[in-house]
Amino acid sequence: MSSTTQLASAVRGTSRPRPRFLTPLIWIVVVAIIAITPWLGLSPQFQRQIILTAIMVLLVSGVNLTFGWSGELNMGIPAMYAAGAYVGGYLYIHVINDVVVGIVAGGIAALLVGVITGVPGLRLGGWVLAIVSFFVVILIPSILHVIPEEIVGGSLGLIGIPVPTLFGIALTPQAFFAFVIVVTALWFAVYRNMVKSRVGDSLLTMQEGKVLAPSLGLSSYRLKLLAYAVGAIPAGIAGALYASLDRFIGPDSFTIELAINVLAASIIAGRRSIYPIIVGAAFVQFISVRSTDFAEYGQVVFGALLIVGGIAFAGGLAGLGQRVWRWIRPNRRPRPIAASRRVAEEADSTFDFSSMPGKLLSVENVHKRFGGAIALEDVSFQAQPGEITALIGPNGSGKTTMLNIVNGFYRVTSGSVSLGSEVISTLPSSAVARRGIARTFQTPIVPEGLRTVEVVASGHIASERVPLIATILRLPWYSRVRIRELAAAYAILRQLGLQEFADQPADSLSLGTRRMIELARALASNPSVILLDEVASGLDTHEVVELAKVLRTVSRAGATVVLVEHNFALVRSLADRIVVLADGQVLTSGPPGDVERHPEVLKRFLGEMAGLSGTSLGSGVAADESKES
Amino acid sequence: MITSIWAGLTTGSIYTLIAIGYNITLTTAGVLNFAFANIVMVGAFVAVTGIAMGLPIWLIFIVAAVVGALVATAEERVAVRFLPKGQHAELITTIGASTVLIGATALIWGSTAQRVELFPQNPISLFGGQVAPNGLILLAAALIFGLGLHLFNTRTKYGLASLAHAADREATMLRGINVRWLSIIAFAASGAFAGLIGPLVGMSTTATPFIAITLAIKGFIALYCGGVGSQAGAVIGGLGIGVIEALANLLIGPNYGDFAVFAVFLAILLIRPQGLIGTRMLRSV
Repeated sequence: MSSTTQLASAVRGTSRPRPRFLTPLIWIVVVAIIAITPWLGLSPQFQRQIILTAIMVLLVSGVNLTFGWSGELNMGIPAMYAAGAYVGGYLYIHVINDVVVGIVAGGIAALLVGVITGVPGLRLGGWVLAIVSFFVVILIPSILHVIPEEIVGGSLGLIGIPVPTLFGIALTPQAFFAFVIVVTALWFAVYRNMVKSRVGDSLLTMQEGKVLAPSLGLSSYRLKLLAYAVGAIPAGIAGALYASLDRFIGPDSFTIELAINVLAASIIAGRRSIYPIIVGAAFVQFISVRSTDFAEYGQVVFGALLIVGGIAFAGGLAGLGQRVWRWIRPNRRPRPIAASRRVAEEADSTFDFSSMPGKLLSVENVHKRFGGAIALEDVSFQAQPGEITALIGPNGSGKTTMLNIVNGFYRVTSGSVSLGSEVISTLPSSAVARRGIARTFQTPIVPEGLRTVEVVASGHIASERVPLIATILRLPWYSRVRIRELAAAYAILRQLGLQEFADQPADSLSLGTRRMIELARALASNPSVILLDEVASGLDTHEVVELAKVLRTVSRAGATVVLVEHNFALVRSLADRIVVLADGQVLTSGPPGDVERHPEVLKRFLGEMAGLSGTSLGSGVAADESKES
Repeated sequence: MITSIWAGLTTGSIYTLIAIGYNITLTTAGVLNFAFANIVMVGAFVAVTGIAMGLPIWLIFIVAAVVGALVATAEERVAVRFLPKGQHAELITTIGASTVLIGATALIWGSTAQRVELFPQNPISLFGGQVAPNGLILLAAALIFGLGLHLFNTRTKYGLASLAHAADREATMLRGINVRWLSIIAFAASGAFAGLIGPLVGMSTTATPFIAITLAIKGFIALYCGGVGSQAGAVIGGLGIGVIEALANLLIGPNYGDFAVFAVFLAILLIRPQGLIGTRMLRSV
């Protein structure tokens, strides 16, 4: 307990380059200044433009959450906006005239629209989600037609919305302006805290293809639905605000053009941007006001922006800013994300390899067929805790297929895989990962946009969940978990000799380094079983020696290590047990000494087939030496 | 009732033709061109101008096809050629191209709907219902192009080559097929097709820039319900959607057609995500 408080206080202390309270403080001051401008003489026309820009900011943050952070295009923002507006407007007229009730109800209504359209569309994603959400916008006029006119006012619009009140006090236009600014600023803080967190890291991890997230125990579908549903909330809030702005809701405010405008603002700002959203929203709002008489010019401009933004400036203004910054200060080292590095330096005990309780992994009579092709035939072996088990065999012998079956990417045709006493071959891959099976990939998969230490920490996210609300409010619960996780990631990186890369973007590092980062990420989940797919290929001699040392430490700590490897010398020096696969069957298995004298093995790996198989005895001498030293 | 079915088959033919257009670029360049329906509308507007200038009908169709091909080729060069890998860039850029075309057509031809009258439209009676001759032409076009391209894709060397390309770009390159040219040719062909059907579609819908997005979305639903990549599926999906929409409008009430289409789309998504006769899924990235 006391060690965690120590960690926390150390984080708040010295090595953080900017005091913790500074960003919120600046934000509060800026918001306060904007909020009081009406009393300083800001004209009503300008007030209205700024309110509309604030509404646009809310809408754009919703698109950024889905498009930028979960990688799915949501064209249904106008529908969510409309849901918020009509629910808000109806409440103000008929139930209770309070703007806080209105924005809460509007947010919930939009959330429901988001979930209903997200559930069918998100499983397939891409164009399908874009079209489903687009279609909902087309349906708006029909929906308004079908709902009785007394409720939504039909095609004429909803009229008679009273002057907005807050806790029983009628709001003057100036006070309403201030209210809109404060609400937008609060949501902005929510958005910022959500994407700059473990949730944001998980979303970026999820965008890196179909394989990585489940292998870390994260469900892609749930993450996408989360981002999509939360992304609907600001649109609903914006709708409820809009209902009070003109005290009239026109059905023609919720069009496809609005969806395009919001998307254009998101592209201009950068789809994963935070503060540039304000610039993008203001720009689009400015152009739309200019082009009310020439709406067509606006469309040509926004359409062109989508093309240019989609092709050239994937990062938008935010990306452009970063590039310019790097150009001005090319040698500036990235700022450490937290003081966790210092924590790791001070408290070595945050992560050590002394105890990693492993579990018995047993593969029993596994058959796997792809159509007519037999990939695995009656394969059985066991990997013991505290031992390194190596799977070797020529290309196409079924080694990687076996790993994919163990961690749930493939289903067995028959047979079973169990971890300890539990059968895991029927579980989805994310559930397998949460049972403590971690793995690396033949081609390292390292997400874009994360620093090395964050990538390593992402291995731990699924094993310790923190509720979204605690994340957004940055409750001590969240900070405690996050600090421990980052400190552990730094400690692991140091153990692997990678501390110099900790704060660098991970996706730009060399192949060998990314391989080691994958291993670090696997270790961060505190696994009982580690599956390594050709972890040594692409490493130089020195790195192989380091790797061998780490793997031995890990297995001595008790973990079950399964190694798929071409490098026979490394395997011979490292493995406690070798399983030789050939044509999808187990050729032989046993301690290295026995296996290498097996006549079939000698023929296949030393004879004329050796060169073809890709497995040879020639390399990996260094690993041998390290064993002797 | 029968009249309604004829009307449904007419709009359904339009959805089918758009789905066919999607398939042309999808099966060759691997890109779904959301702006296809906008190019169809360009064709319709070319017809408006052509009629005003008193051009003969055959010349109007040729000019529309040429203009369509030029627009689509320009789109390929600007919005498709340099697409970054993955990340849904094609959604953004082709939706962007569609938006540009909406604005541009509105600037050139105005934003009010204009009638396209290539020939007189006296409804004729057929099987106990009324149908405009143009509806029958659209239906014939949908059937001929859909089934013809289906046979072309599955029976000829060129069709198979393009399917191979969409399935595996690298392997096709290794076989010596020039994928860059294939992409340009696919866009030009789809643009010529869009221009060609534009005047016919315009006769049914009027020429107006803003209807393109609705057509684009319904066309996608037709494509998806039939099965992505299958031209025969486009025919079944488009006509089916069109008839369901018309019948829902007739039997349940106006405004319910879109709901019915949406319900069918969601049902297909949940129950048969590969489409009615499709075998492969739309790339989910």
